Formats: sequence, structure tokens, C-alpha cells
Amino acid sequence: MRVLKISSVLALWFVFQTLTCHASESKADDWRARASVADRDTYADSDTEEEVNFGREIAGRLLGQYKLSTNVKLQKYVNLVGATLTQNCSRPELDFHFIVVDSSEINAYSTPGGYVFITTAVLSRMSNEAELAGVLAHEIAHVTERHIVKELSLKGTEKSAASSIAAMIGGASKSAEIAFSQAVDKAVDILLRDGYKKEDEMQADATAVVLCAFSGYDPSGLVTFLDKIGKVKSGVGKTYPVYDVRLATLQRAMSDEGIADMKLALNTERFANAMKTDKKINLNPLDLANPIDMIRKVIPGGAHD
Amino acid sequence: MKIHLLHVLLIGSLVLCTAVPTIAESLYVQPFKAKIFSKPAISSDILGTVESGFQFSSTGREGSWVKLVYKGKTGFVPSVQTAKTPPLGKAAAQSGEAGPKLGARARTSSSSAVVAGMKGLTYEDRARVTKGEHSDFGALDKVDALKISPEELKQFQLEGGKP
Amino acid sequence: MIRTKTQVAVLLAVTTFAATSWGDEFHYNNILVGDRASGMGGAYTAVSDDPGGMYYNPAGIAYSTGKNLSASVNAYSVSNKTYKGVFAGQDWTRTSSTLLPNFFGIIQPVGKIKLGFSYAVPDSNQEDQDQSFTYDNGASWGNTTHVINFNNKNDVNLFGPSAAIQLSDSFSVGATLYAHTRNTEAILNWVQQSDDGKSHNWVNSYRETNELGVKPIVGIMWSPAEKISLGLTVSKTVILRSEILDQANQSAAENQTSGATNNANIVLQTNKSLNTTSQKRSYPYQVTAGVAFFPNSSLLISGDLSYYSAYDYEWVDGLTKRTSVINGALGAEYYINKNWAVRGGLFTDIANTPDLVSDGTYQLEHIDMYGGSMTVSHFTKNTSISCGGSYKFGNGKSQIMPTSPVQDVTANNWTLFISSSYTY
Repeated sequence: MRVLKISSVLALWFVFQTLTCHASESKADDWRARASVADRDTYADSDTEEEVNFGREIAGRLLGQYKLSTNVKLQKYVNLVGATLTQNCSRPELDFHFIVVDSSEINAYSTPGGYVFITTAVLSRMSNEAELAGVLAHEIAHVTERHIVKELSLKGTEKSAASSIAAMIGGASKSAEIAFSQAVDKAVDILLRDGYKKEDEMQADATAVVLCAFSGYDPSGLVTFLDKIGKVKSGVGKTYPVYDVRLATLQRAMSDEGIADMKLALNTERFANAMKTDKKINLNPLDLANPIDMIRKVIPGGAHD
Repeated sequence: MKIHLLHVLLIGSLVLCTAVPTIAESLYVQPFKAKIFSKPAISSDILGTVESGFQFSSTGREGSWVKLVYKGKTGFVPSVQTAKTPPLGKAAAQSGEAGPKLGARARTSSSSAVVAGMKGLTYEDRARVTKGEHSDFGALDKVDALKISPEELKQFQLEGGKP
Repeated sequence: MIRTKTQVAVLLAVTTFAATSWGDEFHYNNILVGDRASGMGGAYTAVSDDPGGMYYNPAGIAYSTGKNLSASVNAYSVSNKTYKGVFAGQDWTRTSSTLLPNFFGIIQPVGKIKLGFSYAVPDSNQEDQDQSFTYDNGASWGNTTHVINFNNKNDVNLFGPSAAIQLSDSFSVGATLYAHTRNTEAILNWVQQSDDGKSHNWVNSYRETNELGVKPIVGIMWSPAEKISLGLTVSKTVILRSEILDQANQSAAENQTSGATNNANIVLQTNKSLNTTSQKRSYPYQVTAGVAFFPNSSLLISGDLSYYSAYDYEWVDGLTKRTSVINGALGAEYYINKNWAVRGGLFTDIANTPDLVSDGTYQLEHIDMYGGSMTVSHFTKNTSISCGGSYKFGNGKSQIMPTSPVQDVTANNWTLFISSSYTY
């Protein structure tokens, strides 16, 4: 009888334990997830490798649709602003590339692995470097927060013995090939057609203003720019969420972070100069075929071999 | 006898349930350099600067800031600059400096050969599997070739900081 | 004299004995299917959130994690069946061993719907009986050498698409439409030769069946409370086309005088040509209800109860009757850490044949089986490999020779699994 009593107490405790322990992990359906998926939220070098290759694939696709701007000085300038930001970003393992493309579409894109695209139409509507930094930081945040990587569950391929055995049994390599190709298509769809999830955009905004402030740029740059293009909705790329809501959320995030009233660099003059050179440099059409050589000619010591 | 069995089962289940490991909140600083602030605000005093990979145990959170003890004082790091795992190594799949020195086209396809999923696919095949959409990897190689030296960047940042 | 009577009975009965006992369709749980499911004794209806779910409960794949998933299982299965004292005090032993691709499945999300395709082999055996012995046949035969060769192949393949959708956070529906094929081929060769060379009896029987049908499975999954999942499926196999090829030959002679000009004492000689019929086998309705409890991310406990309806159908050998069956399964999965998991399960595999009666004839064997399974899995970030096995055993009755007494039969089966799964 005593044993039965002890058992009953234990049974109750067991029920209590199982219902309360690990309560923190319970989102909508998280209780279905098994311990083996814990690895899916951590990233290893092989994942970065896969992500960069994946990003290159998409970047190549985007460059097939948008023409790389031949304004090398502007490319360089945008990369300098970008590098100033990425110095403070949370993913030092990535080499970011900032790419100016000739397009009348007001938009900016970033691919996993760190290829950030910005159109000349966006640049032409900016008034200072802080606005440029704001937009670039927003795109950098999509990369550092792995929005596409998570959306598509992108992972590196392991080279462990276990995974080779699994591949042998399952004959999975061909499926992986197809899955990779499909993921590229989906990523391009997210960038060009469907857009990110709303919460991803909001998160990118919030991360961007902090990143700007850390890098010495006035965090209001992103706000003033979004406000500006929010008012000129006609030519705006269709992948930005509704501006009013977005701006309100962003401003709230800024005051939460205590950066709403910070007065940091705008670099208005330097930005104007960088934009001006656009028209000044008259490129030899023959040089267009090989911008790398062109970089060497135009900016001595600027490009590495 | 049956009761004993029940007993054993219950204790067994209990052990199973409570044995799930819980991980202590040990964090690593991610960017190349990160400042440690005295308060959870960018405008606050800076206690010091730590390098990428700096490990610490957080003593709590305040908004989007992680609290820690730094040189005997309470300090704050933005949580976006921290992660539970050490920073990863530099991505090796890049063309450019890390990769072999090959011609533009060869480099493009050699980098795609590193991609597990694309193994065995030639440059031409890729166009087929990706819906036949046009890609320009030549332009991408030009993008990869553009590098910023640390000196240039330093100079650029010194010139900045203006209204 | 008694012995002679028995002998004659055996001689005449032999052609028909083969027909009633061929092929193992007396059980529903012949081989456990799936990667995780097989380790959990097949108690998977309320879990089902990976490719194996397409077989157990298609509604479950709506909850699969990861974007693209594939799993495949290879199994090596060995069965032994011993019929006690069938004839002449001899036990008959039949063994079967097969190495087969047991399951392959892939899931991919398309918008809000999860689509998948799977291939499953829920039943496959290759039975062999190779036996020779000497027995005093009596009468004019005396000591007689018997040689029995029996081969029986039976394969069921299922393949087809699945779709599932989550209608709310806690409710999903899904369906699988399997194409069903069953191919069987059985050969019995039994030679008796009296040691004096004057008498012989040779029987050769052959049967091949090929059937094609569909097996729709519809399922729902509901989570009435956090950490608890309930699953329900209904399925039935419907045969669309069937072909049965039958052939039996027998030749017997008794007391043939050496040097005689003719076989004056031939007692029996048949030479049936290949007989083709197209009767369709029936299959029962299957309703399975399952419950699963997910106390934390390391432990999972589940249980299934399956009901198979009674049914009968006209077959080449006459009306065949099957009784209703209830099978149960219990399973658990425990993650030692994020890289290693163990699974265990218990299950029943009850025969769908009526209980044998002592004065009946042409009765189908009835063996209720009970088993357990266990697998160990190793996980890496996007793969898992599992190894393990299942064992089941049972005692029952059979009447392997349709007019001779009922005998005891024991059966056991062990199956080794090796499986892998991938997420992309």
C-alpha cells in the first residue's frame, strides 16, 4: 500500500514535470520538434560555405537581370560605406560585396552570403551618406539575421562519414542537387517578387539603425529615406511593406534603443561628390568590357590583383 | 509485483524527463571589435573594446542589450552583436583571394563545384536546372575582384564624421 | 491397412493442399515500415511527421520540419515456421529470407501544402522448404524416400503521392493514394520413391498471382492540448485487375514390376494445363487510431490501435473467409542527446483467419504473433542513420495437409533495418 502511495505521488510529480519543464521552448508547435533538430539553429563553417555559394548563384542570376553599373568610383564609394558598416556587424566570417546596378527601379537586395545590390535609382533619391548607410545596413541585416537562409532551411553539406553512409543508403545526392536549384529559384522569388516576411523587414530595420549608430552614421538616415520614398510610391519596388506602419515601428525601435535623438555623421558633401562623379567620368567604351582593368586605371592602387 | 513494476516505470520516466540537458547562457562577441558600454545605451560611456570571439557569461538582459561583468564592472553589449556559438571562420568558398587563381570562367565553375548540390554540373548545365534563366557570372567575378584595403577604409572613415 | 488408407489420402490430397496454404496474407503487420516508425513498433499514427508518415498517417506530414525531406529504409528479414508432426512424424520447416528496400519517401512543401511521394513494401517473403526423409509408406511401398521442395515468393509494393494541409495550428488532414501490386509465385515439388524402385508418386504444383489495385489512405491529426497528438486513418485496398495462373501435375504408380512392358498399376496421372482465372482478392477496411505524447524535446511516447474488418471473397479454391483483427502497438523514442536517439516498441500481429477446429478440413493456418523492435539513430545536422531490428514470434495451429489432423505451428521472424533520412 505504501508503495502505491509513493507511486501515486511520483505519478503526479511526473505529470507536473512533463507539463512544466522546458515550458520556455513551447511556441505554437515546438513541442513536436525533437532534440535532433537542435542543430538546425546553429551554424557551422560548412553552412557558411554553402550560404556563400548559394548567394553567388543568386547574385549571378540578379546580375543577369540588372546591369552592373560601370561607374567604378561609385562602386568603390558604396563599398567603402558598406565596409564601414560590416566592420560592426555580427557576421565577421562573411566578405560583403556592395553592387551598384543601373536600374530605374527603386530597390535594394541582398543575397545570403553577403551580396548587397542597390540600384542607381535609389542612389539618385538619397541626400546623404547616412541614408545610403541606412539602406545598406537594412540589407546587411537581412544577411546577418539569415532571413533567406532560415526561410529556405539552407544548410551546408556535411562531409562526415555518417552523412556519406546516409547518402549511400538514401541515394540523396541527386535530390540534393535538385533541392539546391529549387532553393535558388525560391530565393530569387523572395527577392524580386514575394518579398520578405513582414517581421523580417521590421527586424532588419531595427538592426540597421543600431548598426548605423555603431558605425558612426546618423541612425535617422534610414528613417528620412523611407519617409521620402514612402511619399513617392509610384516607382517603388513592390517588395517593401506599407510605409506608415513600418516607419512607426522603426521610430519606436529607435527610441527603445535610445538612439532616436543621436546626432551622428551625415556626410552630405562626400555623398554629393561621389554621386557627382557619376557624370564626370566618361568611360572609354572599350574599357567597359573589362571593368577590373578599368578599376586599376581609374583608381591607382584601388583594386587588388 | 505489478506495483513494483509501476514504480520502476515511473522513476524511469522521471529520470528521462529531467535528464534533458540545459545549456548555460554563455555568449560570444561576434563583430571584429565590439564596444562594452556602461549602460544599455549607445550614448553611454565605453568601458572597453573586445575582439571577435570574446566569451562571457551573461548576467541578464535589458531590452536588446546583454548584461555582463567586464573588468569588475557591469557592462552592456547589444545582443545583435552576440551569439551562443563562437564566430565562424572566414568563408572558404569565395573566389578571389582564397580561391585558386584561375580564369574568370574556370573560377566560376570551380566555385560551383564546391557547392554540394551542384556537384557534377557543368557551367552549361546550370542554366538548364535553374529554369534556363540568364545569369551573369562574368559580372559577378568583377564584383568579387573589387576589394577594399584596410588602409583605404581607415582613410575613408577618418574623412567621414561630418554633418 | 490403416496406413494404406492414409497413403491414398495423402496422394489424392496433395494437389489441393498447395492451393490453400500458399502466400502469407494472414497477417497485416508482416514488415514494419519506415525509418522512425519501425523502431517504435509501428506506433506512428499520431506522430507521422516525416516521410514514413505518408504510410501511417498522411495528415502528419503537414507538421514535418525542414523544407525537403527524404528517407529510405533497407531491411533484411528472416522468418522461420515449423509445423509439428505434419506427416510421418516429421516437422516441416519453412524459412524465408529477403533483403529489400522497405521504404523510400520524400516530402516537399508547395505553398501551404506538403506534397510527398513514397514507396513501401509492407509484405515480402521468399519461403523455402527443402526436405528429404525416409518413411515406411506401408502396403506395397515399404521404405520410401520423400523429397519436398517448396518455394513461395510474395511481394506487396505500394507507391504513390501524398498531400497534407494544416487547417489550423492544431488540426491537419492528409491523403495518400497508393498504387498496390501483389505478385506471388509458388512452386511445390514432392517426389516419393519407394526404396525397391517399384512405386513412385510425383506432384508438381505451380501458382502465380498478379494483382493491381489502389490503396487510398485518408488521415486526420488533431492536437487537443499542447504536447498531445491524436491521429486517425482509414484505408482500404481495392483490386482493379487480377490474374491467377494455376497448374498442377501428378503422376503415381504402385508396385510397378521391374521389366514390365507397361505401367499396369498406375493409380493416378493428371496433367493439367495452365489455368488462368481473374478472381479478385478482397482486403479489409483498416481504421487506426493513435495517440502520442511529447513531454519534452527528448521523449516521445505513442500508441496505436488498428482495426481490420472481417471480409470474405470467392477465390480459386472456393470461398475464403477472414475474421476481424485488432492490432496494438506501443512505441517510445528517447534522445540521449541531440546526436543520438534510441527507439523501442511492442506490437501485435494477429492472424486474420478463423480459429481452427479439430474436425475441420481445408483450414487456413492461424498464428497470433507478438513482437518488439528497437533502433538506435545517429543524427548529424541534416542526416540521420538508424540501425536496429525487430523480432516477433507466435504459436498457432495449422492444417497444412487439408484432410489430415490439425498440427501445432510455431513461427518467428527477425528483421534488421538500416535506414537514413535527409533534410535539405
